[in-house]
Amino acid sequence: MSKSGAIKLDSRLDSPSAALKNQRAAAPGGRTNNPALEDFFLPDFCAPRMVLAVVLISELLALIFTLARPDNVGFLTDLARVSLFVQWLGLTGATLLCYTRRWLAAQSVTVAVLLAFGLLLLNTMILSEIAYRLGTTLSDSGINETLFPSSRAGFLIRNLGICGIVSAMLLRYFFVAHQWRLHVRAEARSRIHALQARIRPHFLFNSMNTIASLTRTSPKLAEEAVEDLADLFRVTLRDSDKLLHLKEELELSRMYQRIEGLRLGPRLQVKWDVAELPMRALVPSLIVQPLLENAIYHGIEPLDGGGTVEVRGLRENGDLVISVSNPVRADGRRTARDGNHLAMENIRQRLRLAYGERGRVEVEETPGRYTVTLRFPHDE
Amino acid sequence: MSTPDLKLLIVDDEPPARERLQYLLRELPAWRVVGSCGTGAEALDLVRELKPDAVLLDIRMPGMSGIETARHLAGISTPPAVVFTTAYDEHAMEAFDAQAVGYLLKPVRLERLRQALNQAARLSAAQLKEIAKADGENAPRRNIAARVGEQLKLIPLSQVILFRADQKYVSVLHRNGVDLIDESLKDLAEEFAATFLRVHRSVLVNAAQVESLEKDAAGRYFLKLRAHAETLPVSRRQLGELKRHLRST
Repeated sequence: MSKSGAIKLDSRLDSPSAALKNQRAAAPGGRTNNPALEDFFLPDFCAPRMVLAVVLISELLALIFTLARPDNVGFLTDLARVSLFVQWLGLTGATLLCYTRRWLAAQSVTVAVLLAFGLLLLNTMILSEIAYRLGTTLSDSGINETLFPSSRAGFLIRNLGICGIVSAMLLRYFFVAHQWRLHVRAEARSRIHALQARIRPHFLFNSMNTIASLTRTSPKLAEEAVEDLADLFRVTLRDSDKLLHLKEELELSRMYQRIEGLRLGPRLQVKWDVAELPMRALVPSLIVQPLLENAIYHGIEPLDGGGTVEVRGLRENGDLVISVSNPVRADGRRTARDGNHLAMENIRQRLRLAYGERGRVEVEETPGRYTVTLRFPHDE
Repeated sequence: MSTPDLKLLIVDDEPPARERLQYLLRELPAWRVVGSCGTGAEALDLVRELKPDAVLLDIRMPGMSGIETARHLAGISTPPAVVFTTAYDEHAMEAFDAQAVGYLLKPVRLERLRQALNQAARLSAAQLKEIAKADGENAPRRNIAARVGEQLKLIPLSQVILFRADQKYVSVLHRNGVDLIDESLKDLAEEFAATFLRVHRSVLVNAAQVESLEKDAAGRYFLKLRAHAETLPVSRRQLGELKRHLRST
C-alpha cells in the first residue's frame, strides 16, 4: 500500500476516539462540540458573560469619550447620548460577530481577523449614517439639535477612526489571550507526553505480567528482570538533562532488550554492531533505548514471525552516527498509536539542545524497513 | 458453578502470559484449559475443533488482533464466550466498559479472573463493531469471514477484489472465487473507507485492484480491474470521488 494510503488510514482511525473525547468534553457545559469553533480565537459573543463584557467595555469607552470632550451640553447628558450610541455599536458588533463566528472560524486566522475588522467598520459606518439621518430628522422636528452630530463627514470619519483603533486593539487582545491559553494547554499536555514518552504503559504492565509469570516458573530470571527494570526506571525517572557515558546508554538498551526478550522469546532478535563507537563519549541519556523500544513495539510485535532489529554505530567526519532499524509489516500498515512520534520528537529536541544544529534525527523508510538515525558531534 | 467442567481456550502471543494464566486456572477447578495458542488464526481453528465454552483472548497480537478474532468468532454457529486480556489499551478499555464486555488487565488477579469467567458472555457482532471503532488501531479488519456450511472461511482483505450487494446478500469476489457474507455494504464501506472505493450504489472495489478509468463513446465511465475481466460501470455520483482518488495515486 502506498504511503498516502497509510496516512489516510491513520487520520480516519484517529477520528472516532477524538470525536468521543470532544463529546465528553462538551457535555458538562452544554457547549458546542465542534473542535474548530472551540479553538477559534474570537470568543463566543452570544454567551451571557461576553454580552456583559461588551456592555461594560462600551460603557467605559463612552465614559472616556465624554471625559475627553469639552463640556457643551452637561456631563450626564453627554454621557447618556454617547453611551446610547456606543452601546448600540458594541451590541450590534457583538451580534454580528456572534452570527458570523462559525463562518469566520472556517477561514484562516489572517482572513478571519480582516473580515471581523471589516465587519465592525461596516457596522459602525451604517449605524453612524443612521444616527446622522435620525439626528437631522429629529432636529427638524424641534428636538435639541446639540444632541446630534452636525457634520456628516466629520462624524463618519471620527467614528470609523475610533472604531478602527478600538477593534484592532480588541482583536489583538483576543488573539494574544487565545495564544496564551493554547500555550498553557500545550505546555500541560507536553509535560504528560514527555513522561509518557519515557515510560510506555504497555511496557510497564507487560513486564510486570512477565515477571509475575516467571516468579513461578523461573525465579532467577524473574529476579534479573526486576533488577533490569529497576535500573531502567532509575534512569527514566531522573532528570533527562543528565549526560551518560555511551557505554551506559547502550547497557540500558540491552537491559530493555533482555526484558522484552523474555516476553517475546525468539520472535525478537537484535543485532548489535556498535564496536566502532567510543564508549566513553558523554551523551544525553535515553537516546538509543527509546528507539529500540519503538522498533520493537512498531516493528517486531506486529510481525507474525518476529524479526531482527539492527543497531549500528559508526563515526563519520567527527560525528557519531547511531541507527536503529526494524522490519515493517508487508502490508505497510503502521500502527497509529500515540507515542510513536513523541519519543522521537523528544530525542530530537534533546539532541538539538545539547549539540545545536549538529545534533540531528533522521528517519528513512524503505519498503520493508524503517530506520531512525541519530547524528551528533563528538570531540575526542 | 453448576457445570463442573467448562472448557477454556487461552490465546496470547506471549508464552509467559499464557503460562501465567494456566497457573492461575489451576486454582479454578470449574474450568479446564483445553488448549492455548499464539495467534488469532490458530484460535479460530482451535475453537472449531475443541468447542470451548470460553476464550481468554489477548488484544494485541501479531497478525489478527484479538478484537478482529472475536468478530470472526461471533460469526460461527455456537460461538464461545469471550473475555479479553490486555496490558494497556486505553481506547479498547473504554469501549469494553461502554459495551459491558468482560476484560482483564495484565497481570491478571485470580479473583478478577474468577469473576470475569463467571460472567463471561457471548459477544454480539454489534458490540464488537463498536469496540473496534473505538479502538482505532484495530478498526478495519484484515480478513473477511464467510460462512461455508459449518465452516468459517477467512478471506484476507488483500485478496478481495470487490464487494457487491445483491438483493439480500453481499457477495465477496476474491482471487479464489465468490462467497456470500452476512454484512451490509454500508458497514463495509465505512470500515474500509481507506482501502475500498464505492463505484456505484451496490459495488465497493478494492482500490489496489483498480487498473484504469475509461470512457466509452456514449460518455459513460467504466472501471477496469487488474485481476478480474469484468468492467464496472461507474455511477455519476461516485465519479468525482473516484477521479480524485485515481489522481492521488
